[in-house]
Amino acid sequence: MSIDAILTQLLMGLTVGVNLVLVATGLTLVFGMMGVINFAHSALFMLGAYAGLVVSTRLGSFWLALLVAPIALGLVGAAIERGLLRPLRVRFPDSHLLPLLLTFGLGLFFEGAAKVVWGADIVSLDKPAALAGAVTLGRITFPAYWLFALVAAAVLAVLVWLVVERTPLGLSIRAATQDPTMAAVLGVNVRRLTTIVFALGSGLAAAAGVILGTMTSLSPQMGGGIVLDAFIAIVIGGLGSFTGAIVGSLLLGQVQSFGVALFPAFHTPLVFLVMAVVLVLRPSGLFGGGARR
Amino acid sequence: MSRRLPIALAALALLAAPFGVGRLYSAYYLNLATWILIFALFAAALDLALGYGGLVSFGHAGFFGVGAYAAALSLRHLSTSLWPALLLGILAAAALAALVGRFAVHSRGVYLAMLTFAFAQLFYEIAIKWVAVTGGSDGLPGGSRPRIGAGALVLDLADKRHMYWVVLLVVAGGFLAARRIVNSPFGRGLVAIRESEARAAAIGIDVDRHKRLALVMSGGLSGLAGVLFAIHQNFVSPELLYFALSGEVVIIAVLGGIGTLYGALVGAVIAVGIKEILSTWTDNWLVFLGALYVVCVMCFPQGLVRLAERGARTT
Repeated sequence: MSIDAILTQLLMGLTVGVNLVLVATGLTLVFGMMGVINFAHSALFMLGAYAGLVVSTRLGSFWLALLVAPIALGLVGAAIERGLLRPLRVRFPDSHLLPLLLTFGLGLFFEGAAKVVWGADIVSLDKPAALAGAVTLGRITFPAYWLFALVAAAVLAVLVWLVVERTPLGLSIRAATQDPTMAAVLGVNVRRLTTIVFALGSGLAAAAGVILGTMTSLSPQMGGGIVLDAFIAIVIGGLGSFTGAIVGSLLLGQVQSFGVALFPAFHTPLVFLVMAVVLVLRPSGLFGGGARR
Repeated sequence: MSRRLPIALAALALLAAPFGVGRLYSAYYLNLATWILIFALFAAALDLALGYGGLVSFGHAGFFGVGAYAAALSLRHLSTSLWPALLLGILAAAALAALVGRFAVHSRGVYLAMLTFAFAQLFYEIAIKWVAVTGGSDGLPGGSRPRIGAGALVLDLADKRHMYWVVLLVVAGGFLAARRIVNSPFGRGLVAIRESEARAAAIGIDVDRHKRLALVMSGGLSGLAGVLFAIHQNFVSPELLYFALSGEVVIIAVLGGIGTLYGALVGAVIAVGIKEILSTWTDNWLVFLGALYVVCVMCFPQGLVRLAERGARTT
């Protein structure tokens, strides 16, 4: 590969990587606090994209869609946590299986509902005219929308990072993801925090849904692939670790980008191979806290 | 005696079911019964790991699908006989389970669920990408279905009634094997591990070995169910490896009640039946299925068999 090609792949990998961060953040924080992998996460991503489609066709503004869809899905996420997950956890605090099944059922429900409302066919979300075409960055040419996707997701990711790492709220979140019981004993309102984290994660997934949905296309099953990648990223990074989610996502973005370029037929097994190698060397992931669960 | 009689009658009724086709009901219902039996075996196989070993697997479709593909490939390239397909399906699934077990056995709860999920998803991707062998996302159509037996007693699996009998016998054998495993000292050890790993280890049970073996047996039986599926449908596709199926079989097991084995049969009747009814009644069955799963988890999370047992005790 030439230097230019390598730079292009690097940049594309970074674009995928920062968007993966948005999706992975919700997965890993919810896992850390509740011990649950949210199987409805891909549906929230998908619903975010469709919500964006509705806003941008009704109101004619992509930018408004990017603002409204995450807020709407954040509220949906909060409602799911309050209305369904919490009652289940109160009754069966030790079960990992029941919340997993609940979110699985919810995911199917949302996928089916999207088929009913928007049809099973692929639809596209138009990119704003300002972001059409390509831009030249030094030696390489890069699609303008890709650059926007990179910058927008990176800004959001940095904002979330600042909130989680640099604010009192973030301190509580980190404490509660590492040990919910101890955090509660020390006076953190873990119940309220769980709702906030679930809403935040859903909103971020929706934002990624709008950004990536515009880049590719929309279908009721569109969330499956990216959430699987995000899941692998957080397994690599260490389930429940926020730093791990970021590092894992960025790493996976590069593996995907170069994997597609170098081994087009086998890039997906390559991703799993990376995960297997990491898990064999470090069973709880790169930043995993050890054998708490 | 009082317990034997109903079981014997039920067995007789199940064996006689094909004779009612055309007289009491159409072949469609016999076909549906065959599907239910196959999924009951699959769910019972999962129950072995989940309900008895406490191994939360979210990737059992991997074992089922690998069994199905192994059978389809054996029938296609090796021999049109049923036996090598059956054997290869079980062996391939058990070998995969042994591999997964090596990696996953140290992890617990959700970690195990995620690792099994990832392995199954890996095979799903391989089935889609390795077009030359698996036919890619189009799947592999089967040829003529195998025939077994000789002379006057030949079962031709292209005949729906013969297929039903073979499935019934294999599934019954699978259930008996599972019950034998559960009631063996090994099975007791497995339950001890499920209840408390530390205590089980303290009284000298080899925890890792028990878990690995449980996963291998569960995987092998799932593979067997996959073989039956491949022959009955005469077609295999990557959906058999997809995580939606892993979730479905967990739902079937939980619906019936985990840790009961025969709960799998109850769960399969309800889940497969409802799915079938929904899909003939509306194109949007996915919405209702998802809502139904949510309602099941929220309203009777301990399964119908346990619910019935509790009801029987209170009245």
